[in-house]
Amino acid sequence: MVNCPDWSRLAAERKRDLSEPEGWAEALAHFDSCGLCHKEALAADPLLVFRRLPAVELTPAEESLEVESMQQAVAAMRTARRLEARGRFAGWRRWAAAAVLAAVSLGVGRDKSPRLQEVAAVPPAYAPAVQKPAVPTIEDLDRPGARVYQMGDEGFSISMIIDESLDV
Amino acid sequence: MNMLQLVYSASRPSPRPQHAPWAETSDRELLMAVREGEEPALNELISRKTKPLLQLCQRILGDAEEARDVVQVTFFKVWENRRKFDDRWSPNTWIYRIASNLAIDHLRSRKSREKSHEPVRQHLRQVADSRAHRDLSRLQQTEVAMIFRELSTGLSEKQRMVFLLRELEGLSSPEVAEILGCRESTVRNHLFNARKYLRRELLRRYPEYAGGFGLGEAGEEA
Repeated sequence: MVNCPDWSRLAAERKRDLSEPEGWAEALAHFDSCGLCHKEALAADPLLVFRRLPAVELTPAEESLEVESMQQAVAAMRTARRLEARGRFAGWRRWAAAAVLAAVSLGVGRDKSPRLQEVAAVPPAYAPAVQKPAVPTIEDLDRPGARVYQMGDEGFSISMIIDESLDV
Repeated sequence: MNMLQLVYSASRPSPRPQHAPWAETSDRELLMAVREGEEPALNELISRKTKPLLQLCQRILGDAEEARDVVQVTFFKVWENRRKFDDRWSPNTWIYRIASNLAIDHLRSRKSREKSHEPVRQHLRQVADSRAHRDLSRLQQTEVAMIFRELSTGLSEKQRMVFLLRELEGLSSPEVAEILGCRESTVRNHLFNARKYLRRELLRRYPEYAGGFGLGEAGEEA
């Protein structure tokens, strides 16, 4: 005994407030299995025809094959992504190595410059020669008419002080 | 077992502890294991969800091969984004959301290369003419698929998704809202507009099928 639902009432209720009227789920299950009231149901709601959109119907063996091929395909995609990432990393390493080499060579070039600057900053070797002589200057002698002569070089030098007031 | 074997087995890292058989775990536990990088859990997830996802994508796209491609990418995305999965989320909703987004992207990319549907209509008219009784109840699955594919191009992607998820997959409005990332009221609006458009266009473009119900072009209005 098949109890075909009242499709007109259900469709009208559904159309009115868009919610699913009581018994709608059971009615749909009935629609899927009962060929007797298809015409009436479709007259009430033509969109029910889309319940017959192809469903994926697989035998257990077909489903098992489908799952296996899906697993393999996903595994292949993951492997491809890993290899791609590894390739990217290898590429990155090549670039990094080139960058390090460039930096090192630049660094070597730049190293020289501070040294040159340091050398330039050091006073030249002849600088001590212009230092103030150990011999008392004429001002230190406090004698305006006096003259000081200095001869010789490192290790041995002679200083002469000549002043007219001195009695030589 | 000689000494060498003993040393070898002692130095070998112990195998990972065996998880409970994956078939007995819930979807949530499975996704949590996937999040930890457990590959067997991913394989179990694939074995559980391949069929429903294939069905959903096939209905969205109207093409079995394209559906298969989208489902493959869905599982790949699940793996790639596994660390983003929050255990407070519904596993089904999360997976359906990924699949739906990919299917929508696929539809968008297809739109530009979509050919005219005139051949589809011609074919359907020939089929209809060749039958003594022309009505919706006698349409074959492939014909229904062709009609849906044609009519649904007039829907927005969201409208199409809502119609399929709500009407054909039997998901609730809150679930559909979560999958599509919108409010329930939006889902209801999309559903209302999708139904209205599909009913009108079905009866306008295929009056030969509506004739069986005594419905003309103006016989049905949403």
